[in-house]
Amino acid sequence: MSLLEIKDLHATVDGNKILNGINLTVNRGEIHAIMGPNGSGKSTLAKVISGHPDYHVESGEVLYEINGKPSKILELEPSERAREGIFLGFQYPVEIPGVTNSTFLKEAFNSICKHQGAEELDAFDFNELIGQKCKGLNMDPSFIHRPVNEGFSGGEKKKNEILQMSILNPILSLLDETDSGLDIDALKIVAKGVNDLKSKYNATILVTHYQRLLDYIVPDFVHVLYQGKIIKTGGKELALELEKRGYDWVIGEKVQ
Amino acid sequence: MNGEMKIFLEKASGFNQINNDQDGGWSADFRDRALNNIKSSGIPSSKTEKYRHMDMSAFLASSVSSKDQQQNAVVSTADYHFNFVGGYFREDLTKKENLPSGLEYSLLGGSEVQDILAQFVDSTDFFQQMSNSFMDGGLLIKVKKNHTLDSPITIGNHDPKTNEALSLPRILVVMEEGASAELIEHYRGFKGVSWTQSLTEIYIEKRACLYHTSKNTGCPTGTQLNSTKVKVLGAGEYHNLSLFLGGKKSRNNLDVELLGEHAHCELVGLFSNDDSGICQNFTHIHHRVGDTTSVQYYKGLLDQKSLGVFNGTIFVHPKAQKIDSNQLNKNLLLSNLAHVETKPTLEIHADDVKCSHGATIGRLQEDEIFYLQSRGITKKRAVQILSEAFAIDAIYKFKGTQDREATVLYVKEFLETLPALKG
Ligand SMILES: Nc1ncnc2c1ncn2[C@@H]1O[C@H](COP(=O)(O)OP(=O)(O)OP(=O)(O)O)[C@@H](O)[C@H]1O
Ligand SMILES: [Mg+2]
Repeated sequence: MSLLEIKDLHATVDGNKILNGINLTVNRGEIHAIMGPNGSGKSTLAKVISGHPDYHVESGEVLYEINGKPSKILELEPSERAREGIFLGFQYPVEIPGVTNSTFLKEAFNSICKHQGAEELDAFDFNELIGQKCKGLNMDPSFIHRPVNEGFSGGEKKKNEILQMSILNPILSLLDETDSGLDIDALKIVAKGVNDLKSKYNATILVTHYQRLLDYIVPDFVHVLYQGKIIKTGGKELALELEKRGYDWVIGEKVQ
Repeated sequence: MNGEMKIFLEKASGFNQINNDQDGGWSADFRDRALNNIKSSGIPSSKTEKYRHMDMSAFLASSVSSKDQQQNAVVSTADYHFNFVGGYFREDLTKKENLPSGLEYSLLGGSEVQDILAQFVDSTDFFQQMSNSFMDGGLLIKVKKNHTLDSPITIGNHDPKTNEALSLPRILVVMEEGASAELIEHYRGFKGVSWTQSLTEIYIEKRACLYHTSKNTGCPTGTQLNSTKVKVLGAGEYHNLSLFLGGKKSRNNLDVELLGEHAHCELVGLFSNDDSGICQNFTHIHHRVGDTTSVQYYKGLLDQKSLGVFNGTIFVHPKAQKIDSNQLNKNLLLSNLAHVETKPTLEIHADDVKCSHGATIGRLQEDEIFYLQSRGITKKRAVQILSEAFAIDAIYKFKGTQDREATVLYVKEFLETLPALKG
């Protein structure tokens, strides 16, 4: 059974059609990269999967494996999807003034533990866990006591997404341009975060504009999204070709 | 004379008969002057901007109790050094053994305070005139020259649990030169159609510094007014945190006069309400001389059909140059029916002045809620976390307090009762 199966998904925002029939199957253990020109609908797809209320699904289905059964997750609240192991790394992480990273993460971690029947951690053990994760990702632990993303640099916000991912230990990670705006070292940190999580149970969908990330995280599939549709799928060599030739030739092929 | 005035005067004379008929001295004159003032200026109409949303009928309908009746009321005074019962200062309940050293107190009334009280008289301030016309003792606190108190002074006003609904506690605080202290007042609205009106006058001498928290817990049927009038001399500092949580009607009147160079004040406030409750804040900062600074930061969090008002005025008097003053009021509406009226006013009569003010009214951002949801936090909990963060932020702006943890808890407990945040 596939972990995620998207069937002919059509979605709108503010009455504009953005997704025009997406089909995508992701199995456990796989890494998928989604590339495509600006405005083609990549973030929209990630947000629809995770349940953002601004996006309306007109037709189609998203099935996700819960307790060994394919489940229609479009009916679930975003928090329920997260508790079932779906994680969205935001293209533009949101600033939450007045809530510290540690409070926020502890709340999130414990709500997921509770749902999965695991024991919640107290403040002491949780800080221990965060400390380890920060160290593992070579991140400054002082981040933890600052309000979520407030005043963080663009790259720090992205690293914070990876920290959250590594603490929440998701089954399906949707990383929306987590590599944009990162310096080389940070890029390696992000790649490490993803590679550390990789197992035969987990899957990752990476939205990216740069083949560079794919030097560190090797995708099993590369998809090209254009005008709300996947118009080409290939292996990691497709990313290299896109890097050299741009999107026009793929779009041209499609038109013919 | 109209009917309202007649009732008002009868109430005042009734009050003074049962409490004060034996004392003929200066305090009788003090009350008479205030009463004459009210007679000539009248009871303010709720049609005027300054007194909008005020409804004097609750006061006129309330009943006067005598001090004697309150002397025997049994209350739990565990939390406070100084205790008022039904508005009367109960000296016998004072926790003398726990008072920080460097502090002196007495019943307010001795003739040595009459000069200071006279300095505070403002014939245009109806609520002060009202408190003055009902003056009966109260509490005088003095922090001695160059003393720094090591723990906060706490004051509570207790419900007498009789049916007497009128309560007019009154405090005068004198911070002598170079003294430094923290003061925490807690007023509660009483059950029934009650009227609680406190007056706290604070005199801050040179280089003295006071941190002052005023907690006001409203009740669903009562009116609660709190007037604080402060004078700050050269290089003195006044820091205020005003919390007005719940209640049918509450009103915060906060006037600060910066009277000497390098005097500074910081006024932080949080008001929150639900149902059809009304919380009004009227702040006035007078920069009377140059080289004085002030900061205001007020937050409103409103649920259901409640109304919040922030009306903040900064006066820069002629010749008061080199003034730095900023004011910010931020409001968060938790329901479509809640509303806020915010009106910052600058009256500037000098030219070398840096004043800024701003106000925002908004709702929780969908994107913030979604961010939390995407991490497994339910929508309800996300709304709780974000609203709480909005409110608690104000408390963190009140720096230098020793009581922060308790204050945060006090606010959180209230927020949990708001319908939008419950459960
Ligand atoms: N709230 C909105 N209202 C109107 N249009 C929107 C809204 N959100 C997204 N869109 C539009 O939907 C289209 C797809 O946007 P999306 O963010 O999914 O693109 P993307 O592929 O992620 O682009 P990028 O590579 O620039 O991140 C864009 O044309 C965008 O303007
Ligand atoms: Mg995008």
